[in-house]
Amino acid sequence: MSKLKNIRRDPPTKHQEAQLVAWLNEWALYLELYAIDAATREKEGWAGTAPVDVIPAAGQIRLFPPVSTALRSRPVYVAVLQSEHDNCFLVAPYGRFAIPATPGELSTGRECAAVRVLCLWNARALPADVLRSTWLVDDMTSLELSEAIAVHRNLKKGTGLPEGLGLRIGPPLSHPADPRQIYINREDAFWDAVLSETCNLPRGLSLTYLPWLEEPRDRREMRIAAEEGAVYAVAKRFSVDNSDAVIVVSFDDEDRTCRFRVQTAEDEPCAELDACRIETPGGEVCTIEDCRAAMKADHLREGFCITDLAGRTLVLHPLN
Amino acid sequence: MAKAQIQNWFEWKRQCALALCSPCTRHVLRQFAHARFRYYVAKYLHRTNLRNPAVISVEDRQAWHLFESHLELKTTRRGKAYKNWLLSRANEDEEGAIQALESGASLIVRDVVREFMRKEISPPRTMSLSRPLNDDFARPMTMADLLPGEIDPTSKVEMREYSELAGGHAGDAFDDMKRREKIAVFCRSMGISLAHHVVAEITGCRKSSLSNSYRDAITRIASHIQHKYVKEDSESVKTLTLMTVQIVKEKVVAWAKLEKSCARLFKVAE
Repeated sequence: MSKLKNIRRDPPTKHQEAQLVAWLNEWALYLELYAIDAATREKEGWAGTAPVDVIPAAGQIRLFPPVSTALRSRPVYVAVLQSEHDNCFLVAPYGRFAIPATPGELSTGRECAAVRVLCLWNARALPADVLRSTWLVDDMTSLELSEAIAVHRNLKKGTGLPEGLGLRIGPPLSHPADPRQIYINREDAFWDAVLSETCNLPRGLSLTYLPWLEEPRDRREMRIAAEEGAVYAVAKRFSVDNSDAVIVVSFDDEDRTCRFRVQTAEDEPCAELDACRIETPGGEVCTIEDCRAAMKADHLREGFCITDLAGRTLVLHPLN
Repeated sequence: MAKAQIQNWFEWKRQCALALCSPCTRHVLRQFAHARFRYYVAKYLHRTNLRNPAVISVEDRQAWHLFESHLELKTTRRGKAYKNWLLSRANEDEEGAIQALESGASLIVRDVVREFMRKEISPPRTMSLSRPLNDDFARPMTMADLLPGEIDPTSKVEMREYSELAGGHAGDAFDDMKRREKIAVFCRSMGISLAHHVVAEITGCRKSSLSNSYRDAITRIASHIQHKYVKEDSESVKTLTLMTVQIVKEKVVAWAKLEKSCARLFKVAE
């Protein structure tokens, strides 16, 4: 009796054949160009401090900073798909090519080369605080997000695809000698390296906190009432790495606003940080102009950071 | 001079668009993009012996435009966040800053050239589905074999049975593999040349020995399955063989992730 039963297959479609040929041509082009200049692949160098941007949420498109070897080798864009347990988010990276390689890759319809193809097969869970150290670039439409989730769910559970999506995913992959296997293995290893490097990043060190804002308002006011002098009346001073500037933050109780002054050690106005941005995890932003800035105290409760024109976070040290 | 070059880039970021920058900055950055663009095109033409290169010339303004717009999602500050990625590579006060920044810009230009080539020219060796593949399995194969077609839903039960059989055979085959064979299979799975010096250092073998190791491993799998299912039809045996080899390759890659001696090979891959 036969041990192996016949497998019946539908012939591949013309669309799938055309997709495969187009992808293989792009892959051949990529290999030729990549082989040209090994020295260009990445340069070891200054890594800097990770930025702090708005808190992550499903539907965002974010860009990783070049703070590690893998992340310096190319810009890495990801789509935030959904929140997961343990304060994590399921994210999927965008691919390098214009054509989806496999059924796990979705052509997004966007024109920008960075975000044309979404690699749902390579989706991983990332801690929220790692994602916060990435730049928010754009938001997906609700349709984009639902389509991405549908493809991911189909990969994991075989739930099927909504009509029309079948033409926007890549052709099936099964042969062990298919060059797409090499591509998949390489991208999988690359993303492993990204996660390994980013999850070791120091997190939260970029944020500066104002102690008199950390306590809940009612407890703070009770404590203040019991004291002879209002603690919050003492302005907080911070030095700035690689700069002569001193940042002085004072609290105006009348309108509950924190006022920033940038000055020298001799208390003279200092314009060195003009055009830098004060940013909070909640997404509030204000720009330092003429040595000054102001922000509502409530926005600063979870801390703030100051970024320069290049998007680098300045390192502050409390002086009092 | 390096500091002045860095300042060109920072001015570009501050002004958001090159057209708003000083004439000096416009000139310097356009020349940079143009020079890198021509470099990659020339190298590609040399490697591929492509004729009629005149079709692949662009002016400096166009080279810069292609570079500036390649990763621009939107014309907003957020949509141009790739500039953050680029300029964050360089601490302008440190030595080597301009090199770090320009290496990042070169990575982008290389992708710009790839995209340009993809749209504008036909590759010298255009793929077709009738093109023969490297024959790993002692049977003639073409690109068409890469697309066997979707499995008929009525065959899904059979497919599961094949998967179970293949999984069992793959487990046995993996256990029988020598370390040299595993590394050879891993290299082929990652597209790493068996002639790479790192491969030679790790295995102590030359390319020819490793090629033989790869072929021995794959042939052993195919022969075992052919012998075990000698009475089955050739298409079914081929399907089972391919599935088994695929699972073996996946096991090898998983093994390599844990094998300390293979850590260097992952860096070679990219």
